[in-house]
Amino acid sequence: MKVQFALCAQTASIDRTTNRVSIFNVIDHLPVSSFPINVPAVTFVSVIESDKDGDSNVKGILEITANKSLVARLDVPINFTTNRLARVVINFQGIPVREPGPLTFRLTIPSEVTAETTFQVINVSQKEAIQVATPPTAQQGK
Amino acid sequence: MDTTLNQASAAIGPYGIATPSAKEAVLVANTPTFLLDRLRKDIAVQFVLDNMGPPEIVRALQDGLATPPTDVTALVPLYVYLVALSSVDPRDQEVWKQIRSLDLSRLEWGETMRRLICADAVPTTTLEFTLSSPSKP
Repeated sequence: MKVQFALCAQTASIDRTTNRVSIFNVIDHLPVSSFPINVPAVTFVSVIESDKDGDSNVKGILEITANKSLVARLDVPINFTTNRLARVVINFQGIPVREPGPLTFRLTIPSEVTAETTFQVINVSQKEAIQVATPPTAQQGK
Repeated sequence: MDTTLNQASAAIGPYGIATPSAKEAVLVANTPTFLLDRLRKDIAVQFVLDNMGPPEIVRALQDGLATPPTDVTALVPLYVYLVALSSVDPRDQEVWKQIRSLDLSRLEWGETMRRLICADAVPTTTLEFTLSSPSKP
């Protein structure tokens, strides 16, 4: 097996007529002004390719970690059919994040592959913004 | 449901499947990909999907393929049924086995369109989770 890709986005949808996936607002970082927060909407999307022909059902395990602490762990059933590909689209609402740092989504198919993606949750609090906006002193300017 | 399955006159109840737009698509298409994309959006395919289940559509296509088409317009409902099958859930392997076993030799682009349809039949696991709130420090 191999992972074609794994990423997080705000939303994703599967076209009813074409069965193609569209991914909207890919998340490469998440600016947050106060902690703790509930990240309102995150969709984990991954496409996994089997190296075997035929139908098979496997059980994946998705773990979400924020700053190395486990936020959620859940079983994900994955179906492979004759064309060897399988998609996983998981919508999350209200992922709790207590502090800035990496938010990691790791989908593991035991003894096969791991599809992993990480983005940084960045603190952009007002205090930091004021510090950035403060002009340098005369001493610093020399 | 009253489903009439005779080629050009194929109808669901009083409604014909070979709509003018579906006829136009079959007549002007220059590639199987174009025909597939065009018919997927056509009201005729949507009408079939709204009124027939996958096994019924397979049976209707089998019945339509049993006799040689009398003219070009007789092909229209057959292509409509075939394209409607592209919306079958990829995890419904029983129906996909039937789709793969259809003899499409009477349709010039039948085999190519079936390959396109099968290639797009990627199963998707879709789940929704709501997680608990963090407590304020």
